[in-house]
Amino acid sequence: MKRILIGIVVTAAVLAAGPARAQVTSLLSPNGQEEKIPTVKFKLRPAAEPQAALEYQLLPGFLDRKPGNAAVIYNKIGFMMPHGSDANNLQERLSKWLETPLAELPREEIEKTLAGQHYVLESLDRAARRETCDWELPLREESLITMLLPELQETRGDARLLAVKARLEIAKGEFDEAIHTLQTGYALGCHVAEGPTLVSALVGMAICGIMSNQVEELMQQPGSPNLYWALTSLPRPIISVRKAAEVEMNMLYLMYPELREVDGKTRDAAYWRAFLDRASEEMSGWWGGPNPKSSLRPALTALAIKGYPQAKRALIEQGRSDEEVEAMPVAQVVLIYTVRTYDEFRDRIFKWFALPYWEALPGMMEADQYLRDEGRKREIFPIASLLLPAVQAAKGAEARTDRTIAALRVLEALRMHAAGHEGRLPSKLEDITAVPVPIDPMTGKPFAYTCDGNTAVLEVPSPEIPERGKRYEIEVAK
Amino acid sequence: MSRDTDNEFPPELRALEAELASLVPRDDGLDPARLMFLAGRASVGKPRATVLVWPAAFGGMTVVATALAVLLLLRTAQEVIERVVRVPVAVSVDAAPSHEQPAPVTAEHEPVIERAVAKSSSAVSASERVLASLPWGQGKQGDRGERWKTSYPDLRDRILERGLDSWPVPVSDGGPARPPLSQRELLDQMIQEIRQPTAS
Repeated sequence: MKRILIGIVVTAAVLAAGPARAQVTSLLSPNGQEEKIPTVKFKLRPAAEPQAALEYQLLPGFLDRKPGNAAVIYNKIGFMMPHGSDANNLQERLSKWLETPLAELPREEIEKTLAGQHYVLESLDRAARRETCDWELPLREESLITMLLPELQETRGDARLLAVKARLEIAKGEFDEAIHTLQTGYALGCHVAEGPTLVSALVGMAICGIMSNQVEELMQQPGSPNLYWALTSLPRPIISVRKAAEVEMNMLYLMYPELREVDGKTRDAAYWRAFLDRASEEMSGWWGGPNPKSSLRPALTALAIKGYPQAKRALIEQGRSDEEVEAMPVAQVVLIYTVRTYDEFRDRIFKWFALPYWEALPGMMEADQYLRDEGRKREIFPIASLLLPAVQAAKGAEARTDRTIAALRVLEALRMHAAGHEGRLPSKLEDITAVPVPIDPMTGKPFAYTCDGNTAVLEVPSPEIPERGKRYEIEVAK
Repeated sequence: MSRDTDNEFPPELRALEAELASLVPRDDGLDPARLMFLAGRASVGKPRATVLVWPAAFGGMTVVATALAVLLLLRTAQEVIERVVRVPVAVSVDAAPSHEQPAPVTAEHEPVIERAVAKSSSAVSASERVLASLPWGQGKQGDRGERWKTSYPDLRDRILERGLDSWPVPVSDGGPARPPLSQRELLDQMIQEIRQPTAS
């Protein structure tokens, strides 16, 4: 009997603990783990600014640029790059060489590989020196929701190829050639970001980040020039998300231009019913889930009916008369409410894009959270919840890309200071007087710098994503 | 049995015979079956502890079942997520309802509602159930599976959340690549095709 009673207690405990165990499991998500900040042992070689201060540039200069649309050439390169098993092989080798220390690079193998891609490299060089880059995405003719962007994937492979070329040139001490290649790489990043989507901007930032990593290598090589003014001459921000933000803000109206007139013109019930039906079918195709052919129409219709009282109430509170709202078709009332709510959520998020990251951060976090909390409560159709991007992540990516370049400028300022002070490091950044020392674009404050004789530490933290931060342990090379 | 009058008992036994013959059997006599039962039980003696095992087990299982039933009842109300399986519905949304309650859905074919997984939570509104039945029912936090492959917003959000490396370059399992033809090679190829017209 005692054993049976114990069994009852154990069974009850297992049943009661089931949900709790699931909660514990969810708490053990990967994001809960601590990440270490990457540390770079930076060999600082003193170097003054070039005699002609702007001798080196990291983007093609005016005299080197020619009229023309770079996108035409980039798209052609997509047909030249290897496909099939060769492509996988090439990308694997490029990725490996990007991680290999300069002294250990297999130079012959790399040169052979680059020789096999010479037409691609020449085309990239040509494209980078075109005045414009217009990808001509048919945003007003084709739905952005289902638009494919294969050309962006190709440019990531192009960037790796350029970065490996630059690494080889740096390893061989061919700094002029390396800087020319880095110009091509930065130009590629800026051109890719001309595409009017947030994904284009993010790919462009990643490409610029790959090039910045090679600049960091170049700066540490004996006899390498000081690139402070080359880095300073880069646009700030080097990749701006404002153009992409404008497209993202208006995605709903790009997809459904009729919604811009939902409040203005008087359409009959049949028109709005047909609009809802069409929109439902298009969204069904967009979903691409397990049953992509199953229509969302009944679910959306049910939502419209359920949300009608809420929509009607809101329109009346906003100033319309009862009679006016009662006379409107149900679908139109719900759509007006949807559009008004979408605009409110959208502007609450995107207004922060006009500000520097550190000023915008609290507002962006609040806006993202507000959308998460209020979207479900207030939206009848969850359009804003689904279409609007995580603005803080997008703006953060922009700021991080700029912070990488700002940190490199600080290191070049240290090289310049050391060159003018017999190889000594400044005890604090304020002691550098040769050139302005940039602030951290993510915090709006100076970088954290400590010095102990011939060694120093420059902190480039990323509080929200620690593994994207960096810590430079600087030592003056002898 | 016939009586043998020639075989008479002695006088002293004849009186006993007469008395015995006058006796009448009692109706409430012994119950043979019960007698045998009692005798058998008496032969066993006191019940052993092992005899109680099965009754005890029965009682214990009854207690367990009761406890589980009580736990089930004490759990908070289950959330039932209704998932629409059948689609074709003709719904009237023309006329605004005259009251605050939403108009009932009228349909030629009633949608087949499939009861899905239930989880313990507080009662949810009808709109939450419908929202949960939609493909984006769980919002950005939900599992959106492979939708990033065909949907720009999902691709964008995936990259923002997980970085660019979460957008893998398509892996091709085709054979080695063929380099594109030069302009001269293409011209030669086209001239050859012109010289060798295909049979109609």
